[in-house]
Amino acid sequence: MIIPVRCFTCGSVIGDLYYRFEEEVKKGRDPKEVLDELGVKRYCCRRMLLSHVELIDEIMRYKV
Amino acid sequence: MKVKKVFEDGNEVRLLVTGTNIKLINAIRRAAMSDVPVLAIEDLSIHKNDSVLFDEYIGARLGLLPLKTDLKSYKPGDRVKLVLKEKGPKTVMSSDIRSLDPNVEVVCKNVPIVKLKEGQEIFIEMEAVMSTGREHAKWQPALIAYNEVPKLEGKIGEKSAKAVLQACPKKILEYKAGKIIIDRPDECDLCGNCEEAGHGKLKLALSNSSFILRVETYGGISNLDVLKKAAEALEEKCKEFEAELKKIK
Repeated sequence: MIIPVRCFTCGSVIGDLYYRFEEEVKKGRDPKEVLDELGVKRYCCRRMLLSHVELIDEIMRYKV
Repeated sequence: MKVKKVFEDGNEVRLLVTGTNIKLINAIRRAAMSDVPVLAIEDLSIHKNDSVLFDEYIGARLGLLPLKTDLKSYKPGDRVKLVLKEKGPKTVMSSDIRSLDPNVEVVCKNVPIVKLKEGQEIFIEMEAVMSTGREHAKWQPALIAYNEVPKLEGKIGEKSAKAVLQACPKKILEYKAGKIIIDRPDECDLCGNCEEAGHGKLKLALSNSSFILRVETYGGISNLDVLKKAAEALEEKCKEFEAELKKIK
């Protein structure tokens, strides 16, 4: 739905990185590079950003 | 016991603790996880929520935000009021949360809480409570872990040592007078490549008296405060035990 506030596994805050991550990746950059730049070291946190699908915008269409 | 800071970067600190044992280090780790109080949003009164997310969903998200905690003025059980009042269209961020105490603020400012469309509104009053990780993981102050310091045992010639230094993927080994020293034990992954490259001459061993203690705070209190408070919590428990013992005749 919307990016989780924290990593499910280790609990560090990753919610604040998602929009920056998305923006850079949409420019065509390699996600690996962007994650390294954002300082996301552990693979648990990396998958949070990599595998997230932002569905909230779709769902918002059906709310009156 | 000796403690030395070996690495510090942003939220993370690594300490080399020598001359102790695994039980004490583990006790500190467990105390840091479950007995160090910090602030986290706990009680909400939701006056208005027109967004697509349920009240509980927003509540869970708010609770997970780390809050800057002043350990001098807040004791376990203390409360602070915070307010979130926004109108759409907008992505409501954690920085929109206003606290009634200027010393208490959200650590990460850019966490999206919810998205609002034109005409949607959100108005939530919150109360943050000082509590510990024992009750809920949102009150955990930091990530904390330790590992035994690795050491390469055995003698080796200068020629074969070169191959060993090359074999290390992190390039943290150093050759000194027939021995190979792990220069940055906190970076070692224990991959064992060095042992393999030594062809039976080297053995990767773990110390039982030296440890690398890694602390990575979520931002509420500093890394050293986490450890100090953990030590205090342990001390308090020992004192309580001592006092109980005195009652036994």
